[in-house]
Amino acid sequence: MARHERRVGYGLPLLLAVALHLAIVAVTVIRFPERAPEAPSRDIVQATLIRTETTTDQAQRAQQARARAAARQDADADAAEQAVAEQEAAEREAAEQAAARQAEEAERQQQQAREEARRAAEEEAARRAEQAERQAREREEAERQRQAEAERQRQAEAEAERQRQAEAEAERQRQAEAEAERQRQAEAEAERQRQAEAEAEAEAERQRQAEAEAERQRQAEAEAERQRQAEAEAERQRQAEAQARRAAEAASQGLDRAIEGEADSVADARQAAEAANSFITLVRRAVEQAWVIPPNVSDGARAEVSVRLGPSGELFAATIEQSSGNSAFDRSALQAVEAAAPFAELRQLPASVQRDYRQFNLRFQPGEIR
Amino acid sequence: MNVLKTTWLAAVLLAWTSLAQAADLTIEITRGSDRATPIAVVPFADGESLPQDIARIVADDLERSGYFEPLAREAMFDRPASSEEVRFGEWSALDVRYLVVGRVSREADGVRIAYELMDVSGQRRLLGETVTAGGDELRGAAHYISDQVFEAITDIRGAFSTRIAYVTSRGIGDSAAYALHIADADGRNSQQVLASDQPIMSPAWSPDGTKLAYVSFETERPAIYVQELASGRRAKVTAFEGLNSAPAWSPDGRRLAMSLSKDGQPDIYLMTLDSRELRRVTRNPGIDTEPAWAPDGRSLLFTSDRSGGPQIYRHDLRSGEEERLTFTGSYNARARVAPDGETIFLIHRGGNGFQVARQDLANDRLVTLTQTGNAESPSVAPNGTMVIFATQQGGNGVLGGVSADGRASFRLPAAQGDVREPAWSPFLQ
Repeated sequence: MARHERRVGYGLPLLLAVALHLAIVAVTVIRFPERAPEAPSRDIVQATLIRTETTTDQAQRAQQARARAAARQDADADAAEQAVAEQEAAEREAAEQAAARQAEEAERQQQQAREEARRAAEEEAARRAEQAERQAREREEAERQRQAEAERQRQAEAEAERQRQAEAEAERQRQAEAEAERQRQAEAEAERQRQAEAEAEAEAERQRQAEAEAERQRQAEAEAERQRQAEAEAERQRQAEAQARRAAEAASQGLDRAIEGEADSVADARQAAEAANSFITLVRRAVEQAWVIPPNVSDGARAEVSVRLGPSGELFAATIEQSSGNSAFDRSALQAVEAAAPFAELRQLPASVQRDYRQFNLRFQPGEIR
Repeated sequence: MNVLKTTWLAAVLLAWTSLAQAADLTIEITRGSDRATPIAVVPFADGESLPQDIARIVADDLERSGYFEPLAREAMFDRPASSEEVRFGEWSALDVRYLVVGRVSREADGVRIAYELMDVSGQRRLLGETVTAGGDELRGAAHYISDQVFEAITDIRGAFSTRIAYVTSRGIGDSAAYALHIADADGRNSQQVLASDQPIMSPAWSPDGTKLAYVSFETERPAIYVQELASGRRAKVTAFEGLNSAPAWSPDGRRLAMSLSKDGQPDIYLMTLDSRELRRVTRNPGIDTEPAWAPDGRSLLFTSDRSGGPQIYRHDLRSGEEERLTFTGSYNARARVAPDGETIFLIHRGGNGFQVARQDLANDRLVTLTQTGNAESPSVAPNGTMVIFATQQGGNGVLGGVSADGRASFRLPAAQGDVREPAWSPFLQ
């Protein structure tokens, strides 16, 4: 940004220099002829002075020429009148011949004088023009010199400016280099850090991968275990189903024998399901009514009792499957089952399913204790 | 026909497989009966000759706890004296869960009581013991048996062998007579330990059960005394100007918390009993009184009206921080902490007057336990299962009790006169 500003400062002098050069060219080429006519009018006095010093031998002529030139310059009419008056005087004083010759001579002289005057005037004009030209040249030269001087000065200044700028530039560069150096070092440092981090990261990554690998392995093992279990479960289920199927087949054969039509067997199955539900409800109600929850039981207390029934619903066994940790609570659960038994409703189930309801679990978990 | 038959067969098969899974059936039991545990305490064999009916005392103890429902003697078909004679089916038919049987015999060194506890439905013998007692220790022996039975069944230490202290008053004006008594937890076997024509208040048991602290006005200015029960010796502990009230023993028995008004309004103070050194605990423009120790001895509960009405606050003795505990209703006072430190019992004024209430500190839920009204001075049993309190009956003060869960309530036999300010003793040796 700084560089840019300085560039703008540099441009202005350059522009000025170019403009000046152009102006000089314009002055030398275009303005010189324009000035020429102007110079005589101003330099007339000078020219006259120079002539008085240098043309003493032509005093008369010069005087005459001067007068004539002045007269001519002032007015041709005056000069003519004077000449006429001189002629008239000559005529009056001399003889006719002399007068004639004199007149002739006068005429000649007059012409000569006129010629002389004209020549002088012309010379004078040429001289003046020359002088004017010289002076113009001198002025021009002086101007050129001034301009050259100014140019030199400008150049010197520009040079100085350049130098300053160069120095500033150098300084800037030094600073920039120093800065760059610092930056390089910082970057190098950053790089080192990055590398260190990258290494750490890589290490972490390696560890993660190792862990992930371990996790994958664990999961794979767990999965395998699950699969094994699932298979075992499936196997168990298959066996259970097979057993059920066999039982069902046997039962259905029995049913086939026992009942008269297929419609009856379906109705029986539905009845069996309904009876099963009502049996569960009856067991729950009976046990809940018989359960006396002991005092000071903690909120989360839970016990599970495994129940086995005899063929007519009498209690074969009630055992703690999962203890609550509180013997009073466990015993209250057992007592509830024992007090609620026998579960004679079992006999209301279809004979074929009674077997399946002779074993079940009861989970004792008080919902809200005061 | 054959296709149809196959379809039916498949349907039946499906029904069967679904039913087959009933083998893994688990039935959830989430509710219990509201009733107490039915128990039969069979009159002990050969007990008729004893001055005390041991089985009756045991049955009454168990019933009073609120957790047992003793079978009426008239309903007993059989009176077995030992487990060998018990026909469980008989008791099971009576829906009795537990059975206590026993036999009494007179020996040279006193009375021998052999008793057994049975789980009727499980047909198991849970307990069997022989107790020997002197002639005047029969009630104590009976309470001991109650304790054993109670603990065997509930897993909670019985508190039937403990005692209670209470104050009686008779007459009014100049003829007024006041007395401090102690009695068995069932209200029997009472003894007078102090009599005065001036009011006696706020009896408090020392943790070892050998001393009582109380407030007496006998010098016409309330003073706190400590009295040794065995010897009757007593010492005046404080008699500062103003109120000297509500002594409460620290769990280690070395300090006494009390409420004194010597510096203005009543505030809570601690006195180290050996040195009589006094330390002020609360500094409050309101009334701070009725201190009660937390079982760990690290904090004191007290009643304060600093918020307008009486409410229960807790003062941490280490940090000095105080915290309001009760926010239910406009009147909660006279807190007592259960032995587990997790529950407090207090007097709560609800829609039906002053009642004994329980507040669980974990959830700040307040449950009213009594319905009688006019309840005052609750005192909790050392096993935390029962609360004794004073109430009014026919214009007289009587003692009532309620189980900690509010399921059972009872009255203690009426002593003579107006009975007030019961204090339940600690477990006694």
